[in-house]
Amino acid sequence: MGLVTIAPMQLESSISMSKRINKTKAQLVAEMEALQAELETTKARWQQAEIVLRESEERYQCITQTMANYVYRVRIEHGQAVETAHGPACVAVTGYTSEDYAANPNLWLQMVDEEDRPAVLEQAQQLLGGHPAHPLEHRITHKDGTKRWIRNTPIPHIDPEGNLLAYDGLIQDITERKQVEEELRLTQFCIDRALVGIMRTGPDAEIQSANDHVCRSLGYTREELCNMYVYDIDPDFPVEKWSEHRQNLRIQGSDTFETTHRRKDGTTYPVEITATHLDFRGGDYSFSFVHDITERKHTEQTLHLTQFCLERASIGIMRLGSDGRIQSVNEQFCRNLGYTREELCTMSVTDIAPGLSIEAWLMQLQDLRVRGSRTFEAIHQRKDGTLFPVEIRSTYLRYRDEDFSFSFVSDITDRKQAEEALEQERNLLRTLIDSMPDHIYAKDIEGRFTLKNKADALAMGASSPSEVIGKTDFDYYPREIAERFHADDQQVIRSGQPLINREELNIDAKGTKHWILTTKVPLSDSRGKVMGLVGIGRDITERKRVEEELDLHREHLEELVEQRTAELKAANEQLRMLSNIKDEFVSNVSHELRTPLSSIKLRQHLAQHHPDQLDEHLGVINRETDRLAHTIEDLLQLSRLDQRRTEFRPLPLDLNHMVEQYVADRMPVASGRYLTLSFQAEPELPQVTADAGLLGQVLSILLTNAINYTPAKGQVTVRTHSRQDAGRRWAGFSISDTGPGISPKEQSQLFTRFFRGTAARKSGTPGTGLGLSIAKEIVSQHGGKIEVASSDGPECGTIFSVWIPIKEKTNEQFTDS
Amino acid sequence: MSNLLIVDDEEGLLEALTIILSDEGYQVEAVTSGQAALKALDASEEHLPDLIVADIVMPEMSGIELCETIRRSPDLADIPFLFISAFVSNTVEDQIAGQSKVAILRKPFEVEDLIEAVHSMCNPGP
Repeated sequence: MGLVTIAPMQLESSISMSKRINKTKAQLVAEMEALQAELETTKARWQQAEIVLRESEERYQCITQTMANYVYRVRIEHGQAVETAHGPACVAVTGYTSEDYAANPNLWLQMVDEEDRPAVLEQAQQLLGGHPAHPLEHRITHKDGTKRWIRNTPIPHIDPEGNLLAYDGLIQDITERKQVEEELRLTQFCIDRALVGIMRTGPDAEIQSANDHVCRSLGYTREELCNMYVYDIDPDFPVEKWSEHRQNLRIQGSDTFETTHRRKDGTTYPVEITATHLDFRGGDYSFSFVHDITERKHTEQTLHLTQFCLERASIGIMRLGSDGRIQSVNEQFCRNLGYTREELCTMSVTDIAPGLSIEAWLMQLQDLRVRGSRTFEAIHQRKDGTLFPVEIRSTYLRYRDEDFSFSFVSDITDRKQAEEALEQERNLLRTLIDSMPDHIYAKDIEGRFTLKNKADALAMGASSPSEVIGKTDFDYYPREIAERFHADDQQVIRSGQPLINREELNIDAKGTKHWILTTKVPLSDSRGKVMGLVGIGRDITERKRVEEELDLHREHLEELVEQRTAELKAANEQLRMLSNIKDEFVSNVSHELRTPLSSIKLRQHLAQHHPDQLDEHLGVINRETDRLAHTIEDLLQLSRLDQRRTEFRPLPLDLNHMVEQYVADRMPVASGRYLTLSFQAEPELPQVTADAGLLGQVLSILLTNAINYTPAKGQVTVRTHSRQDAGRRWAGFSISDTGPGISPKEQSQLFTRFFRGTAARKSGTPGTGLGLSIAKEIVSQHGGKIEVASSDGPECGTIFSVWIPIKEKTNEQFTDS
Repeated sequence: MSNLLIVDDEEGLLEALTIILSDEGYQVEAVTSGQAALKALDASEEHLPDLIVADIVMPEMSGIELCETIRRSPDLADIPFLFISAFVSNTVEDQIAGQSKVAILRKPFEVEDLIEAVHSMCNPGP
């Protein structure tokens, strides 16, 4: 603003100077004319005049050289400029002399800046037209090539007739002023563009000027602001306070204070104002720099918050100086120790850490300086003397050439207790794991053991669990087994699914096979990522052995049960068969008894009603009665044989003799039927031991059958024979006939009780169907056997052979075969 | 008078039965086997028997088999059967159970029972 005031002062002095110059020039011209007249008239006065001139010139030059203004005259004839006379001071302003201008009437115009030329010409036209013209400021080019600003103020000379004779003018060099003005504009520009608000207020708090920043900040235009008062934009500055503020400012000269500004939209923001009181030309101004301190306030607030937080933090905070003295602490720190802040700030770190010497602490600080920060545990002592564990995280600070230790101090009593409890639990678990006979282990994802109990370590051949940690199954087991384990582990780890109670065969360090019941469970971290597995193995070798034994027993038992069942089944079957045989036998017996009985009954009836045929009827009754008697006799004999009640008297027996007798006895019967009965005896047949009567009965039955079933003209041949078979000697007899053979099917039934073959029924031969059964029983009881050979067809014949084993001793008791 | 066909492989018994039933006024034809019975029926044409008296146990074809064969022939199916059996088991009864116009006479039987049975079967009541 100072610069602004300079310009009018300069201008003012220039005008008064110009008046003086005009006056001086008129004197000089008069003097020059007088001197010239004197030169022409008197040489004597020339010297003096010369001196005066020289003096005058010197003065003039002195003036003109020091003055940046000069006058000129343009003479006009008939409205045209005919002569231009520039005062000698023109050299100082333009670099050209008066002679230069006299020689070249256009020189002036040539000097005028291209841009300003139209204005200059217009001014000239104005003057030539006899009109007064306004002073014109324009640029010229100095002879040295520099640009100059001049102010041209022309004054027309008009004769009494009103003709323009000439016009005079004053040329002022205003280059400096222009420069000042330019600078002023630049200053204003800078002020306007400044990043700080700049405002000028008048005595009544009216806003006189404001730069762009203020306008932008407040949201008003400059014009709006310049019609407002400070209290319009500052709610904290009511009109009542203004005069007091002004008074203070006038006394103090300047003041910096914080207040609030309100934008056009009503929002407010904090500002810091540096106001300066200005007394300018009697005016009373306040010139203010306005800083928007929103950011600073925010930062301050943040800082305050941070401080607040530190102060209220639930962790103890302590700052120590390099001498170990406590410089500052927060609330929590005070609470932890039971001291007030004031007390603590007079204490040293050694007062709260018993056993810590200042020397030791200084070494700690040295260490801290090297490391930057460190975390450690210590014991602190409360005001009441009690001790408690703390964890300290110290940071070394160097601030303005001073060393500090800044520490966060946590009371870790709870943690310590928890750690202790955890340690106890861990010990308990460890003891439990180690004392368990089961094999317990944990592996990481690579199969390395991370835990192992004693039982498992010993089984692997390690001396202690710690030896195994970090190693794998491959370090202890044969490759094949280790690979199997590894595959299982990977399966569990990959799938995340446990492997539960799998029986597997392992080999321990001594090479002994063990059955292990294995369970492997994936072990996950807190995020659920599988990080390994936990395994439990139970040696079930003994159980397996017992199981196997049991299995064996069970199998054996099953076998036994099966065998017994089969036996029972067979016995049952036998019983059932026997029962069937019995039923069948009873049925057959009853049938065999009822039929003749029926016949007898009918014949009795007929005998009564047909006495004429009495003989025939009685004959049938006799025959049927005989048949009944035979049947009953046969049945009784069979029963006796079955029950071993037959009188059995084995004696050495000459078979040839016996057979010969029987054949001889039957010879008449055979002859009666036109049969050839012959006997072929084996000579030197060994004696057999047999009951002659019973064996004779066998022969008799077979002979009867042969004679009965062989058609007339047939042959019945009886032979005696012996052979070596099954390690012993046998002797016996055979009866062959030329009757119809017996079919293979009937052969198998021949010895069944009551069975009567086709031949028997067809021939109408009476019989009970018990003969062969009796024969077989008798032979069996002699330890012998009866065989039949025949083929189906007429005259094919049948041969029955009886074989009796030969005994060494006589009187030997026959036993059941 | 009714016609009877008697089948029994025991010729003595067959003879006695023939005489007794003939005495009672029946026209009796006696055969000794099932095959013979079928042959006789074949030959009888118009004069079919009013009753067949048959032994059960016979070689080749039993009385039961004979009965089943006859029942299959539409012309003969209605002829009643009187079986004579010496068996004590229920097997036979089971075999003929549910058949109509069949009766069984167990050996040994009284002559009166035989006559009564034959009579009732030849003259079915209302």
